[in-house]
Amino acid sequence: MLNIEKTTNASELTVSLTGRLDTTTAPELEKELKASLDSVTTLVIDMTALDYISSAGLRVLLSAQKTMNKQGEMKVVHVNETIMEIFEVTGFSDILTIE
Amino acid sequence: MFERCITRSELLRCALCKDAPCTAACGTLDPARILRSLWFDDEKNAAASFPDNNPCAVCAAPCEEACVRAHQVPIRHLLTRVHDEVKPQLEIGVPEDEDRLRTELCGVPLENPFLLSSSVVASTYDMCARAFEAGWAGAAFKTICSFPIHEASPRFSAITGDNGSIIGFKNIEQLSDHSVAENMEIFRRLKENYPNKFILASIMGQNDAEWEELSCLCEENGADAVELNFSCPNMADDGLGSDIGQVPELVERFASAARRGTKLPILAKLTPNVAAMSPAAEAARRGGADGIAAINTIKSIIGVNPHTYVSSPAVHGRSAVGGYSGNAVKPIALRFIAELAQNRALQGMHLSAMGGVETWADALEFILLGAGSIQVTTAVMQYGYRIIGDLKQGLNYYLAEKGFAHVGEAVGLALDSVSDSTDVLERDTVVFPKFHRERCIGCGRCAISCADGGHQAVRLTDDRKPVLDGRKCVGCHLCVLVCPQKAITASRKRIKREHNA
Repeated sequence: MLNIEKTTNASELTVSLTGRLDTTTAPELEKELKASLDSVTTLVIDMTALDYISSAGLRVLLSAQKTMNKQGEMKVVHVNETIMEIFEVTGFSDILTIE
Repeated sequence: MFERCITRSELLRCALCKDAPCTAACGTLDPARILRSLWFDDEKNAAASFPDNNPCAVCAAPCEEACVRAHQVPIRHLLTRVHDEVKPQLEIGVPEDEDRLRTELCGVPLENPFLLSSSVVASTYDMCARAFEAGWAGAAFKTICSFPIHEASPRFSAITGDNGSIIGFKNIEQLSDHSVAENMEIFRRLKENYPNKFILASIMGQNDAEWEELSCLCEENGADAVELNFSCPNMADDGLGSDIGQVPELVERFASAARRGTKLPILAKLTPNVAAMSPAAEAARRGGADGIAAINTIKSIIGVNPHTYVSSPAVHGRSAVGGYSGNAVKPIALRFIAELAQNRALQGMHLSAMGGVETWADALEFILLGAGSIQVTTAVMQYGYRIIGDLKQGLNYYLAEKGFAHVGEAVGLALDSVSDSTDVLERDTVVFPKFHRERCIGCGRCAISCADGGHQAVRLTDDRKPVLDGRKCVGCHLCVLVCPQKAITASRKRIKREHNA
């Protein structure tokens, strides 16, 4: 299960994720982001309550990052230790702005 | 699961046998097949299809006794790790089908992206038929020409890795030694018996008329596309082979000639023995080619004998420069594919990539850099047609795991981060290495390499532990690469570095 909560503040969009971003739920996030990134210049992904991220989840994050590279910036915030380790072994820590 | 659990280095004593005795001795599993998956970077499929209850847990391991190197391969231990370590971490099971591997080559359907490349591995009806049965989507048949071919003996040489297996391969072989008529008969039979397999007819003419005539004949006899061999380094005399690929005017001229002979898709197979491949590729497009196949082999010399002074392969006291291939050439091939894929003048052309592909992960690298199909020879010569199993399974599993619906969605995804020049890279931060004490055995290889090939930033303490001097470390990561224990990785953070004026 993945809960996706969106908060918009002018051109800043915060997406808070709760649960698991896996093979089943990654397409949901992909769809959400596709529908809501127009005119967003700052995308914040809040991972405070995200327990797990899979390969498919990483792919969605990467494609969001590539979109935001063209139109502004993306930040990933409140990353827990398990997910941080995944970002490290996959090289994502070199690509994402993690705060 | 993001890191490989079991590495090839853990089963180096496995000989990857034909009709393996380990499997014959086991009544329950197919250990040889599982070991092969581990060898070819496909542990996830091995784990996904492994039984839930580990049969090895209560077994005396007759497989290890039966092994051609009795008791030298820890089969039971490796299979148990597949069950205990890999399986619990899997994100998905074995995908239901391989439909996501379906793709196309210039509009012609391909069952999967994997073709045999033009060489001895695709040189007879029987060989192609066996490859098709094994799962290859098609074959670039060994280059057809209308002049006689007599090969030298021996005709191969290799450089090997630390365990003795081939990593770089040299051949001095030329073209098909069948007559054009014999080869056309093979095409007709293959197409009749394997209508869904892709036949890429590789040809080489000696003049405009021959290029036109051969391409026409290939179409009449059932080929799906024609590959123009502008690149064989062993046919470079008298303006053939790689001598053509080095001259864009000739590439355009002979591509036009072949174009006159056929309406089939045409791929120009180009040589890496150039500074840049784009001039020849653009010329091929002007001549009417629909795609590029690359890379052919790299001109090379292997193994100068210290006693006879003759390099290898030695043929009656002489040797010759020959074509280099195998896993060792992959970085060079990847660079050429990226060059072609990034060239706007070539947009829309199919790229059929080859050069050192052994595993699905090698193939994926080419796909991410823009390849629409993948060709393989050297790994087939070394391991057999059977490698198609793990190539297909492994790529299919990756695509399913990542959520790709079709392999085509992955084509070119790596291109935006590749720069031709290092000038564009950010140079204001440093990533230090991180030492993992639990894995470190205190050998000090990091300290040696840093002292003599780096910046004297790693010191070995009296109790044999590496210590980093952050003032000296420039973050080059030589230590990460030399560590035999893989106990050094990149640290988490980039640190701002002041530049000295």
